[in-house]
Amino acid sequence: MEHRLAPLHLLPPPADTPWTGAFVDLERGSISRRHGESITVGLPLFWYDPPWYQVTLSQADNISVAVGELGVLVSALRSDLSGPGSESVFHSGREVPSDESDKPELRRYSRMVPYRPERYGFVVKDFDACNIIDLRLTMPRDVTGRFAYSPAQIQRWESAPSTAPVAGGGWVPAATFPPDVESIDHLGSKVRQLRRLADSAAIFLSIGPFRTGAELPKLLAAEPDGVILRLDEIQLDGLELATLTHRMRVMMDQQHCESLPLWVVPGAITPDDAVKLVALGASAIAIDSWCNPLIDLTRESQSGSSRDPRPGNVKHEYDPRWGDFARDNLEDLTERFLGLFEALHSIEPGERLGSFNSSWAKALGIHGLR
Amino acid sequence: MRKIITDEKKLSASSPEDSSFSKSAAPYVYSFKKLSEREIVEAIEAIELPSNASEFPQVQIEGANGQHAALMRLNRPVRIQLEGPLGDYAFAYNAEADIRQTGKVGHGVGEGMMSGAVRIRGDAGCGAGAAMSGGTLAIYGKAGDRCGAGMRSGGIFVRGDVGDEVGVGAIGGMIVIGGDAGKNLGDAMNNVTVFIRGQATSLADGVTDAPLRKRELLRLGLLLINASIRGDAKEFRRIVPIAMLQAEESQRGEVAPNWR
Repeated sequence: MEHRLAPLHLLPPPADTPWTGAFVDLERGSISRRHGESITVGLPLFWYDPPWYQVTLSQADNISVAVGELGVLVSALRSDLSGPGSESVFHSGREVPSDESDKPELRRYSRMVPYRPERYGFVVKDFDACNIIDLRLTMPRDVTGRFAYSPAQIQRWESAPSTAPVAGGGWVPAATFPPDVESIDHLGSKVRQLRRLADSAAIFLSIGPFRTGAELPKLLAAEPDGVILRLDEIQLDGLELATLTHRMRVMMDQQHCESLPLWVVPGAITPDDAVKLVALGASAIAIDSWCNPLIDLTRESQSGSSRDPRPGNVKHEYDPRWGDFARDNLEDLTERFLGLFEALHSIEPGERLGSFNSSWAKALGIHGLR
Repeated sequence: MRKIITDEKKLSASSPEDSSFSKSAAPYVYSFKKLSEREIVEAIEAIELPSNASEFPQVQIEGANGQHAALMRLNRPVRIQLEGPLGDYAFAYNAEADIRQTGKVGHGVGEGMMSGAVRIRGDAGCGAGAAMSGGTLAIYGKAGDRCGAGMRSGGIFVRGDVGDEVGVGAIGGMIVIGGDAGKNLGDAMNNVTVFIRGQATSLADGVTDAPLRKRELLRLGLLLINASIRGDAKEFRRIVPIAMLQAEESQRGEVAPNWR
């Protein structure tokens, strides 16, 4: 994996720093909300846009649980992981032995709900017990580059019979903006509605990096609990990625939103670069480039006959071997991230980054190293 | 013993507009002036249901005055009568409830509703019935832009005019328009049937208007009677994807061809 932010360096403390105890950030996964109590997620890492439709419902459910076990927040609708008449393990939780009691305890997983403008596949129970509602204001592209959803994606969400597929089996256009919001100036009403519908969740707004000067103030006026910056749908070099993240944080601070979380979806990223984005102002980082291979490997390993013939009502069971599979692929990455992340917080914010490259240092306003 | 949080009383002199709402059988009265929106929803959810499933407990709600996000996510077979305007996202994600409101509503009325019925005697803002997956939304006034956007099933009836982009992204269900429509009627429409009595400023690419077939005349006639929408089914035309119409005309029946 390429280190896109290689010219940036995470700095150690200055040489004359007195020895103090190791810093452990117990609040690393805490998100404060404008209304209601803070919510806790495991790590400041999230799987933003998993292509669940590429594997069977049962496989998708097991993979989501396995990744959730690692403390990663996972984005999924119920219809991504289960048929209309069944419940996914990821959404319902699973019983595990308790340390404090003879009775098993119910383990739940941190979950993000993508609230797309079209709401295809969305059911009202998606609001229940979720951690983040992601009100998406970005248009997705399918593999052809259209602003559209693929037939397979729609088929998964809507459980349409194969004899009568949605749009006759063709692609379905994606929406630009929630159709029930009059304009971006009225977004606050939608945010407040979602807050009422999902009282356990923080309400985030996700946008692209293209017109943030005009759009961000209006988004912040809607009073979300956080902002998600999508940088994964365009090709960015390292400096652009760093600059856009840093600039967004500065703009939010200038709008008096210093404590508002900024989550970044950077595309392919290494653990070191993910921590550098945190140092530049991000609060959490999407790790789709780490997690999507779980789906790719699963898809490649299955024969055509092993696919679900139809979204079924079969009750799913979690197989712990999926946990081993996820750990084998992700644990080194998450451990590296966590180590650097904790080390980062032992250093004053203005002292965390430096670069020997003067143009990087100047663009980002960080230490120029010589 | 009925489970009411507070403010229960018998209806007295004021009579709901709709004659099917029997005042003698309407013992539940709540007011936005005395209860929060959440408390009213909780009270309705706690109403004891009669053993006879065909009888709906009747509820009257007072003090509607433009509240946003009112009476969302109800899932109770009750008949509710409201007087007064409501704001955005009224009755969103409801199931089972049969609601009659007199007064205008804001944007997104009936968003995501799953079953039951909502009848509005007034105008609605944009996105009425957006993403609904079942039930009936009837608006006895005008509706704004993007009415029925992204709907997946169910029916929307608008007695008056509708705005632009009606039915955009809808993938199922039926929309009946008693008046005129704005621009781009039926954009990205899939397995959706739109009936319109008046004129559309423009139709979206890939859709056309066509006369009703006999079975649609019968079906629409019944729907108009039930929804109290003026006019005869013969006065309506249907808006369909061109590919679907061609498939019908080539005697292949009502298949769902790939029209992209």
